[in-house]
This record gives sequence, structure tokens and C-alpha cells, in this order.
Amino acid sequence: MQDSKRCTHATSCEMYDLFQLKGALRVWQINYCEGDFQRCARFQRACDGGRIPKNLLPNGKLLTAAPAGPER
Amino acid sequence: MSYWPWWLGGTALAAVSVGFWLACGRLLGVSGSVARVLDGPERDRAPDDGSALEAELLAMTRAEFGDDAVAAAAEAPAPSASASPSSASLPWSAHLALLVAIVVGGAVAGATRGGWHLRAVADGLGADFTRLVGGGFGGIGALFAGGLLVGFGTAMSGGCTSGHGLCGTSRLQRGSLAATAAFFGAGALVALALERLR
Repeated sequence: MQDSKRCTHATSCEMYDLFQLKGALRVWQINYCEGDFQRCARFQRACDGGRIPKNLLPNGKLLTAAPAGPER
Repeated sequence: MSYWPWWLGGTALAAVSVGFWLACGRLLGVSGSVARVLDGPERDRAPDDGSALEAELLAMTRAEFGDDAVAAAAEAPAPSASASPSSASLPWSAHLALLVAIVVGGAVAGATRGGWHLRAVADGLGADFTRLVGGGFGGIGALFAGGLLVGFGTAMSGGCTSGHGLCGTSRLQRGSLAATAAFFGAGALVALALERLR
């Protein structure tokens, strides 16, 4: 069941929304959000209770152009 | 105060969950809405450098996965209609309306059943609560501490009784099943422990 592999934090993740901007960005969802989400840097930060930079990508790298909204 | 029968309360909860999905195209998740409201309405506005953000995101995507993988993913089917879109894409006002409706609905339900009235701290929170947890400011403090734990837990697990308990478990999501088992189990254990201690 595809949904059972989906990251439990997807419903509140800004990056999940950004990855729906263009079809090419689906690769992030396939590899992280709907795949091995435990290795996502954002998921790991959430589990550790730390703040999640809004420009933090699942691979741990940071975007220089920051998405809108405050950090979590 | 008497409560609704279990079957009526359950039916009402299901109606709210399904109704929210039909009305908003999103899964119900109260903790997500709380977080979204606290974020503020600024996030509804598109970023001023939206095109720069998209361009950088695409560049980093190609650097991470390569052009072939990106092209293949672009042709992959989008998440199915049964998959839950992010509740973060609902406007801020919708999340605020949900939270206000919860408070108003609770007050209306209490008033119609004869159990709603303002209480002073000294009045306590009911005989059972006072017996198990304590009365006066001690009881209020216990509620506050419990609320802090709830807030931490919902942020850490990415959901609460509505998101995981109602929506996630009904869709047999493994993460939601685990989260729901954990918080209901913990609640039951603590309740039993308090009964024994008191």
C-alpha cells in the first residue's frame, strides 16, 4: 500500500509542497517522502526535536533562496 | 453532564473527517492546523523570489539525482487521489476557522447538554480529576505540563489523535498505527497508574 510508506510528517512539510511545483521535483518525493524518509534530514531534525530550517533539503543541503514562512 | 453514546460520537467524528476531506480536499489534522496558524498568514504569500527559488531547486535536484532520474520522475504518476496532499497548502484562514470551530462546537455541545459554565480555579475540574491529579493551581499546572508533552509529542510524531488516530489509522498507515498505539497505550497506562497511586 503506497500510502503506508509515506513520511508521517509530509502533511506539515513545506518542502513536500515545494516538490509539487514541477513534475521534475517528484524525484525528491520518490526518493525521500514516499521512500526511505528516515534518511531525510528534515525528518531527522523533527525527531530530534530541533528547528527545521525552511530551506533545508532532504539531503541535508540548504537552498540559498528561502521558501516563504517562518521556520518550524 | 451526560455524554453522547459511543456510536453517535464515533459517527460524528467520522462525518467531520470525511466532510473535511470533501470540503477541503485535505486530511483533517488539528495539530497541523495549530502549527500552521502559529506560522502566521505570511506563508500564504508567494515568495518574492519564487522564480529564483524554483530555478535553484531544479539545479540542486539535477545535481543530486542526475538528469536521467529527474526526467524519469517527471514522467512518473503524481501521488494518487487517495494520497493526502499537505494540509500546509490550505490558506491560513481555513486552518484558523477549523480551530475556532472546534472551540465553538465544544461550547455549543456543552451548553446544549447542560454542562457548560465558567469555573474559577478554586472550583476545580471535577471530582475525578481532583482525586487523580489534584485540585486548584496544582491541577492547572498538571494540565499545562501535560499540554507541553502533547505539543512536543505531536510535533515529533507529525500528528495527533485527529491526524494519526482518525485519518491515518483508518487508511492503515503504519506510522499512524504505531503513533496511535503509543499514545493511547501510554494514556491508558498513566490512567491506571494514577488510579493505583491514589
